[in-house]
Amino acid sequence: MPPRLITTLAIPQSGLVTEEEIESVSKLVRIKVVDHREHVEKVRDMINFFEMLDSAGVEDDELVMDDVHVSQLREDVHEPFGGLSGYVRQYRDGYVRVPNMS
Amino acid sequence: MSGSGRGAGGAAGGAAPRPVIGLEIHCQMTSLKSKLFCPCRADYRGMAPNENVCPVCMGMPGTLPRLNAEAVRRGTMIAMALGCAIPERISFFRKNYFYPDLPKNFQITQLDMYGDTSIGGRGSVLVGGRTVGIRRVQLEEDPGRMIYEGASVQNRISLVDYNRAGTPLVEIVTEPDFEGPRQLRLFLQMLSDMVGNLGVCNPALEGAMRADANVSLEGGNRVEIKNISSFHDLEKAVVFEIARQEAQHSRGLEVAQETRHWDAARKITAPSRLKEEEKGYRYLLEADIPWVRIDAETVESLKSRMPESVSEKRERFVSRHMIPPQVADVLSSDKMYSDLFDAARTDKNARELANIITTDLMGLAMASSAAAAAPAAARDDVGGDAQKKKHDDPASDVIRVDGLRELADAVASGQMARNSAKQALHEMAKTGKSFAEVSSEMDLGLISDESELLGVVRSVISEEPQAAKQAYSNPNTVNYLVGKVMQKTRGKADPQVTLELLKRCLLGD
Amino acid sequence: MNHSSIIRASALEYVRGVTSGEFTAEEFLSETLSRVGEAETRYHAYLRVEDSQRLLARAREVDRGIKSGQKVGLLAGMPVSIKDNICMRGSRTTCGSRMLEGFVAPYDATAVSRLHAEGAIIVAKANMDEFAMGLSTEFSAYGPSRNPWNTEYVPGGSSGGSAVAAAAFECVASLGSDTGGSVRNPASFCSVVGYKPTYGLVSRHGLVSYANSIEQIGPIARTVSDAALVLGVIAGRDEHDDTTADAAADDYLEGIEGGVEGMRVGIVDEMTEGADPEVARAVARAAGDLEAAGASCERISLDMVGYSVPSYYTITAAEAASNLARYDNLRYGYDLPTDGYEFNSYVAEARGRFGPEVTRRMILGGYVSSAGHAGRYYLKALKVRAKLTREVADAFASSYDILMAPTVPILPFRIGEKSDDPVSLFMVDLNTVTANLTRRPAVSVPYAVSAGGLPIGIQMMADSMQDKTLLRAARALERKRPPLPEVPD
Repeated sequence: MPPRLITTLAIPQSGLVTEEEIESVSKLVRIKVVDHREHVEKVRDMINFFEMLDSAGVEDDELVMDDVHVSQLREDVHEPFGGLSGYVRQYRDGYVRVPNMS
Repeated sequence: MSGSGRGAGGAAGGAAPRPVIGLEIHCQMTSLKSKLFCPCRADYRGMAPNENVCPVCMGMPGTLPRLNAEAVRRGTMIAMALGCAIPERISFFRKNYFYPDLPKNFQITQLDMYGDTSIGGRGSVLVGGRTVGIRRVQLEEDPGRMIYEGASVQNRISLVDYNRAGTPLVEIVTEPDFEGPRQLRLFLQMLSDMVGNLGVCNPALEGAMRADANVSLEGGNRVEIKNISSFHDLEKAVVFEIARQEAQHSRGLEVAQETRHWDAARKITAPSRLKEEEKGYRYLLEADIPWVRIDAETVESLKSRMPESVSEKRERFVSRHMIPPQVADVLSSDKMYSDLFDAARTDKNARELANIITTDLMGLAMASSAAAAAPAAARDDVGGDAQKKKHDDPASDVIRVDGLRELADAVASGQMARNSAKQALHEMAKTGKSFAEVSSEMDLGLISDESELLGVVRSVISEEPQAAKQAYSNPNTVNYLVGKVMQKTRGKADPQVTLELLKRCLLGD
Repeated sequence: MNHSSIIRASALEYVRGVTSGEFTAEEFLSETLSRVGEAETRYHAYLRVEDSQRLLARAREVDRGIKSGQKVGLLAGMPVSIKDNICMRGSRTTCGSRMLEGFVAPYDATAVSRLHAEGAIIVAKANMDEFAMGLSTEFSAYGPSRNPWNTEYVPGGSSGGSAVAAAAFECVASLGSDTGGSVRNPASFCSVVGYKPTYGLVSRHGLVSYANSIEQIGPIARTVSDAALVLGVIAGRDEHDDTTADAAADDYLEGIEGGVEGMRVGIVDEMTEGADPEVARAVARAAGDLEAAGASCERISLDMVGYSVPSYYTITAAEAASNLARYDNLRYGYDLPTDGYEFNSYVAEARGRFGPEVTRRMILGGYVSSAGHAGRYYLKALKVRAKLTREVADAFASSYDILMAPTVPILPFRIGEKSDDPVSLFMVDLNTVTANLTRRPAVSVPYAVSAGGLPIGIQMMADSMQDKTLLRAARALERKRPPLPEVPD
């Protein structure tokens, strides 16, 4: 027997999200979409689920953020790390090689 | 101005609307000791590739930013100097886009997305008699630097040096309140004086201050110009862009809203291909950095730490030290020279000192390549303790405070002619010798030594027996004898001492 | 305690036994390592076990220290494990992903250096859902872990390896990380204690970020007191993490036996009413136990809990897309030459190594935070979080010391049963995400075993920085609960 919870929270799918949008977002986050069903369709289902946020009635709510006083922050002192070179991929002379920009 | 009525479309006609220009200036906080979010060096210059990095600024997994308190304080000082409102709390955001020089593939920056939480906003400054609005001042991290090798695009190799990644920047966004290049120049001069004066940035370092411009003709679309490497190029880029837009306007063509790149070699702006992200960056709250409270007490203590502003300083020079306004303009706008002035001045020498600094010393620094090192050496001190710190650099002997004070004292008291002062300064700069040494060696000073003068005085008395006799009754004759002593010493005898000696010898007292 | 069963010792028993000379650290470690070798063939709790000779050498050092009366630290050679998203200098840290297959951490996480400073011996890196995204450990790129109560079942996740290791005596305690229940969920499924501290109590320096605004490192152990002992070692202000609370190191065992006399406990309707009947009955019995111990229990409704899951997934997806953007394989990573690639195509190609769940969440995160949609999704989710936080803060301020619910509304499920339906998996998180979103401390305490032999855990949550109150209540429940069966082996 499936727990009631899961059925009560199932959300109507408005289908506002288009597959094209999801594909263009995939490009933005540098993800190659190989399996369309695996990615695009499931993501669309999830986004549709998120639309229930619309009914939360939080339009007028303010964000709550932790804060610290400026004096609690790190003071301006130089400390070299040392010993990172073995952990970074190097091309030559310490440079990191990257593919050319188009 | 563009010709009227030549346009093909109906939109044209009449003189072109006035240009409207806004700026985004990036200023590196080169005077800080560490990066914005980690303890690597803020001034990365002169280091081997990827020597100035740690897991944090390399974006290694599991690392967190550690905000530099002093960057917040100095940023607040800049915001205050620009007349900005200081928010009670500042926050940071992530600007997400992929680029090889960005180790985390996002940049930590500030933004007024959820309230005014940038380090400053809604300020204004007076430039050339006109108000320039400051929309926003924000702290952010600089990316790394790309280096390209290879002769052609086909065999090009792209390399990255992350030494600069994470170094602290202050971005200053103005309102579009500029009408032309002259006003831009005045503003940028004021701004670089200001950040230098506040001890945040050495604007003389290459790349320490960079600017993008947005240009439109009133009522028209806005064009952003990027890739401008110097303030000099900024003016050229803006002049070109205004002319381009006016030409479009005169032909009745709409100016497209776009980003253009300044091509320094061809001296034109050209449309740039938009990165996909630029169409709409994704911004996220930076939850790794709590919001930072900047309470009234902190603001007050920063205010008391803030050096006098350039305009306050100019005012003081004119009203308290009686320096002519034109000289005060020059002197107050340069932190190093005005610090030097304040260190070397006395109530009596101030006017002469100001003259010596603004004409002779600045002229010397400009003319001589060796002396060009002097401003750089002194600028390192802009943190505030300039006068306490001992210079190791011999070039700074050029502007040693004591020597300058002695020189100005000598001129002010009439012991040295102004023309001689310039020579003495050159000699001091060249040899590193003290004022006393130089003035005696160069025979620039007055002869006031009694034993030296006594011989001259005696020989004049014996050569002029008539006059010596008359001198008992006629004071004018004494002056004649003083003139003779002057002749013999080619004008270098101290008149006061000479008079005393003559009286003593003639009257026998 | 005979030789073969010493490894069943709790952390407190270990410390007492090793310092009193009942057994040596080397004996204990060596027994643990042979247990690991045998248990791993069935459970796959670990991705990598550290070099045993080096570990044993460290244990011998501790033994020498104990003999000569030197300081050996609070944990005195105790074998512990850590989730593979926690960095240990010179050791591989893969986050259960093929994307970081070749990544060796250049530094120690603060939690790791504090464990070392107290004499712990870190024996292994524990399996996890890739980048901590999941609640079954099925999304590990290196294969799932299995529930020692029934190897056909998932151990929960994402810190599944850590929970399995603690439950199956492959270590005394383990560190997991909890973004939306990732410590408490597998603890519940494996019948061990999982503790999620107040946000900012434990440094995240060295914890590979998934959703940095809400996650914490937390201990998984076999008893509440063991979790408190380990918490005390790793908690406290850290200059490497600006979000750590300005709290000095503390002894979280202090007052833990104080009981719940006079405490007010709220049982959250929204987290209980749809639960599996066996789970719901366990909550009712737990309430009875607490009342018998002197607490008062009543039902409470928190309206915003209904919105917690979409808020949680929106925020975590947006933050994940940002946090995982750095994995472009340029500065570190696995071997994929750049020749012939343009930058963007190279990065997209390199990122093809992310598994499907991570890939999906990054696309999702890109979508909900994109310029056109951030207002509708990301910002709204933040506001839901703010409103939920207010609601929870009000409940603590006005009426309750503890909020109680099942840790997970359902029983552990079979491997493969839910992995294909992300939206239905979301619901498994319903009871745990509120503590993360509101930054409150929460703990899962083993309470019962179902008729089918599957563990049921009870979740307790307290107000911010009330971690000691929470541990005291959890300990009271642990003491009062009916005896639990031994984990089958």
